[in-house]
Amino acid sequence: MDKHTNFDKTNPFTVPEGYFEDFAAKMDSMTQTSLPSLAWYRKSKSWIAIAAASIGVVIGVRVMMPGDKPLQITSQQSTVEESYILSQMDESTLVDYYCTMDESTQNEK
Amino acid sequence: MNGFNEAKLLAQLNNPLRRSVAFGKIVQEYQQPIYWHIRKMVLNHDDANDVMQTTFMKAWTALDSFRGESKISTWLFRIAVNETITFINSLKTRNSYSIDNLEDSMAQNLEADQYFSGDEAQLKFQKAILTLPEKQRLVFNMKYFDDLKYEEIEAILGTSVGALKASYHHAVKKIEASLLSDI
Repeated sequence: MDKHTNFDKTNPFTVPEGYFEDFAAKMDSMTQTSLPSLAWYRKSKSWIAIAAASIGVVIGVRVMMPGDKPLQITSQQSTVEESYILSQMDESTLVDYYCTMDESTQNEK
Repeated sequence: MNGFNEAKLLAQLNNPLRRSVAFGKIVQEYQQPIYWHIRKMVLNHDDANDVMQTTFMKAWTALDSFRGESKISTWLFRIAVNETITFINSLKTRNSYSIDNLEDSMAQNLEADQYFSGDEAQLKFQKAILTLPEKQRLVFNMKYFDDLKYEEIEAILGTSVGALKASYHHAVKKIEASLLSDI
């Protein structure tokens, strides 16, 4: 397995003069400018993820249950309409109305 | 690696105030082996410079994920290998090269490279290495030029020592055959 020792191991490649000194200096300046944001980002990453997930759940619930809000509005509207109708009725009609309501509710059950 | 205390450096990397200085020491210590590894794969100096810069910047941004489970050199070589392969693949995609065309093109560029000072025999040797499949070329370069032990290459590439020995053996045979066919 030592046949490879016959190959020429001299490095035929070269680099520009001062290349490695320049590269180290360049890396120094690049790392000094990018450090603070990285540390902050890494530490707070999990909290950002939790906050994003919570917002997602809230939005999801709103999207999945769109009936809540309009239902409230409808029932409020019914109440207003009902109050108006009731105010226009005399007492005997009102008694009839409630009796009819009770009967229809019992029939539904 | 004289005067390079890895344990002390790891402690400094965990200290935000010392981190930049510690990373500077890592660059000083490993830039040459990392550069020469990349250069032997991409051949061209400008490309090697780009890949090395990406390698060290990726290492810098991933410092928090490095827990010292492997040696710093192993970790850096792993990033360098990945970045080099990504770069070579991007060359193939960008220029619509087939594998053979890319290697022909790299060999031709080598002849015209102002930062290649090899003689004719060394040029033939480099061209013979270029005929190897990418993984074999990687293993050959790491063993032959980078002087890494099989165990170190195993830690970097995640390939078993047995498979690495077989790969290196095949690479040597192919290079010999390629050189002999030129005589």
